Amino acid sequence: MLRYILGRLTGLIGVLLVVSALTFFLMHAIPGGPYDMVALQHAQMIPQDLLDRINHLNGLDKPVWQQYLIYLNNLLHFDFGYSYISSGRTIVEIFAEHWPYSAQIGGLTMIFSFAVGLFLGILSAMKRDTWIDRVITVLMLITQAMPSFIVALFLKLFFAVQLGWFPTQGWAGPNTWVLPVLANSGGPILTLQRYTRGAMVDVMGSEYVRTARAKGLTERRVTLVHVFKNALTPVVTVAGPMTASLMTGSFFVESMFRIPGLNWYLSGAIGNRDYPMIMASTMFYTAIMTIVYLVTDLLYAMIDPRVTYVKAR
Amino acid sequence: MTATAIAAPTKRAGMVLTVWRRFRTQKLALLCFILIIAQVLISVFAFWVAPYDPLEPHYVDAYALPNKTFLMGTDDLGRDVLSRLVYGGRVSLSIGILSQVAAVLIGLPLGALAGWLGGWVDFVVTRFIEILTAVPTIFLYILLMIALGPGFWNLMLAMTITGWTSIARLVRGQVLSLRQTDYVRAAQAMGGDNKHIITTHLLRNALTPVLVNLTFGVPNAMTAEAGLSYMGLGIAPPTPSWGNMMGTYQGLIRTNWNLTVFPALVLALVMMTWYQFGEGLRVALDPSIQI
Repeated sequence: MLRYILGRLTGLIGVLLVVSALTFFLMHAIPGGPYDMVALQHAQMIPQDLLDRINHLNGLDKPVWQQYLIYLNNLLHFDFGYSYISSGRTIVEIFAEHWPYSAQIGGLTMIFSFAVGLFLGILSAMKRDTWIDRVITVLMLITQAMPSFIVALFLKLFFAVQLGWFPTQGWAGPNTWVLPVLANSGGPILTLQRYTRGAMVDVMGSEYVRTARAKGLTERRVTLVHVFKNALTPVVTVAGPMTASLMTGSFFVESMFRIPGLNWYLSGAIGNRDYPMIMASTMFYTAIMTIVYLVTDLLYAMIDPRVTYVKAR
Repeated sequence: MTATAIAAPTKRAGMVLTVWRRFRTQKLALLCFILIIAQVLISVFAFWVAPYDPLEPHYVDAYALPNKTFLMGTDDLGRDVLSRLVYGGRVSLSIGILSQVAAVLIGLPLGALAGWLGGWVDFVVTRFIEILTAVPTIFLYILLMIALGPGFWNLMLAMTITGWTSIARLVRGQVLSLRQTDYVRAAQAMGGDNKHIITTHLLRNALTPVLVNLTFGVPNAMTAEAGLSYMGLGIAPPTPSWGNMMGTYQGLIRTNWNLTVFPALVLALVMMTWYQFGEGLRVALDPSIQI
C-alpha cells in the first residue's frame, strides 16, 4: 500500500513538472510583459532604460529556458518568488492572505451541499416515484439549467436588492456568507442528490437488503445502515473532484460578490502577466487536484474492502 | 464479407428506428427535441426572425423597458434586446455544437488508437489526458482565453484543447473492453487489419456512450461560453452573446432588469432543453432500461 502511495506521489511530481513547463512557456509566449499593464493604467510610458533595469533585476532578460531552470531551482528551496505587480510581497504572503477566503467559501459550500444533497438524495430514493420524488426531480432540473453566475444574479436581485435581507457583496460575517454559498452550492447539490439517489436505488434491489428486511429490521435502519453505507462508493467518486474544485474557490462567485479570494486576485494577476503568481497558482491547483484524486482512491479501499491497489501474487 | 456489407445497412436503419421509438415515448424529451429544432431554425434564419438589426442603435429609444415596439426593451445604445438575444443564440449554438464536433474529431481517433494499439501510444495519450485534467477546467479556460484574447475562434480553440479529453477517455475505455470480446478476436483471426477493426467493429459499438456524452457536452460548452463572455473573456462586444449581455449590464439590474434577466432566462431554458434531450437520448439508447 505504502509503495502504491509513493508511486502515485512520484507521478504527481512528474505531472507538476510538465504542467509548470507548459504554463511557463505559454505565459512567456503571449505578447506583453509584466509591466505593460502598469504603464497603461498610470497612462505613462516607463522609460526604456528603467524597464530594462527592472527586467534585468527580475531576470526577465535571460533566455526563457534559462529562466525556467532558475525557477525550478528556486522551487527546490520552496522559494516561489515575488509578485511583479504587488511589489515587495512574496507569493506565499499573497496566498496566505487570499486563499483563506476561497477555502472558507469552499468549506461552507461543502458542508451545506453535503447536508442538502445527501438529504434530498436519500429522501427521493426512499420516496421513489411519489410526489416528493417528483418535486425534488423538478427542482434539480431547474438547478441544472442555472450556472452559478445566473443563480448569483437572481439571488442578488431578489434577496439583496428587492428584500434587502443580505448585503450585495463582501465577505465579513455570517450575513454576507449566505448568498455566495447558496450560489456556489447549486452544482454540488445536484451532483450529490443524483448520485446518492441512483446508488441507493441500485442497492435497494440487492439481496442483502431483502435479507435485512426479512430479519425484521426497521425500515429506517435498513435504509440508513444497509443501503446508504453501501451506496457510498459512487458518491465518494464524485465527492473527491468536487472537494478539490470547491477548495480552490470559484471565479464566478468571487467576482460576482466581490470577495477578495484567490481567484479574484488571480483574474487580475493573469491579465497583468504576473508570471510568478500565475505559475504558483497553476501548480497549487494541479497539486490539490492530484492529491484529492489519490485520497479518493484510498477512500475507496476503506469503504469497500474488495478494492485493493496491491497486486496479489 | 458480402454478407456483412448487405446486412449492415438494414441493421443500422433498424437501430435508428428502435431508438426513435423508445425516444418518442418520453414526452418531455420529445418536447425538448422539438425546442432544439426550433432553436436551430431560429439561429439559421436569425436575420429573418429578429425584428431589428442587433447592432443598429436607436438612440431616441435607449434604455426602453419592454413595450410594443421593442418587445424586450432596448439597451444603453437603443439596440433591440430581442434581436440581440436571437443573434446571441446563434453564437451560443455554434459554440455548443462546433466545440463538440472538434472534440470528437480529436478525441475519437486518439482514444481509439490508445485503446487498440496500447504500448507507447496509449502511454502518451493517457499522460496528455492526465495533465490536461489535472488543471481545473475553468482555470485552464481563463488562462487560455487571456493568452489568446477574446473572440469566437479563440474560444473554439480553448474549448477544443480542453474538450477532447473526456471523449478520448470514454472511447479508450470502450475499446479496451470491446477488444476482449469474441467478435473482435474473430475479426482479428480472420485477418482484419487495424483500420477495418477499429472503424467497423470498435467505433460502431462505442458510439452510444459517445453520442450521449456529446449531447451533454453541448450545454456544458454553452455555459462555459456564457461564463467566459460574462467575465469579458469570451465573445467581445459589440457581437451579442448571452453571457456578455449579462456581464455588461448587470450594474443596471435595479432599473433596466430586462437587459440581464432575459438573457439569463433564455440561457437557462436552452440549457434545460439540451439536458432533457440528452437524458431522453441516454434512456432511449440504453436497452437495459425498460420504458
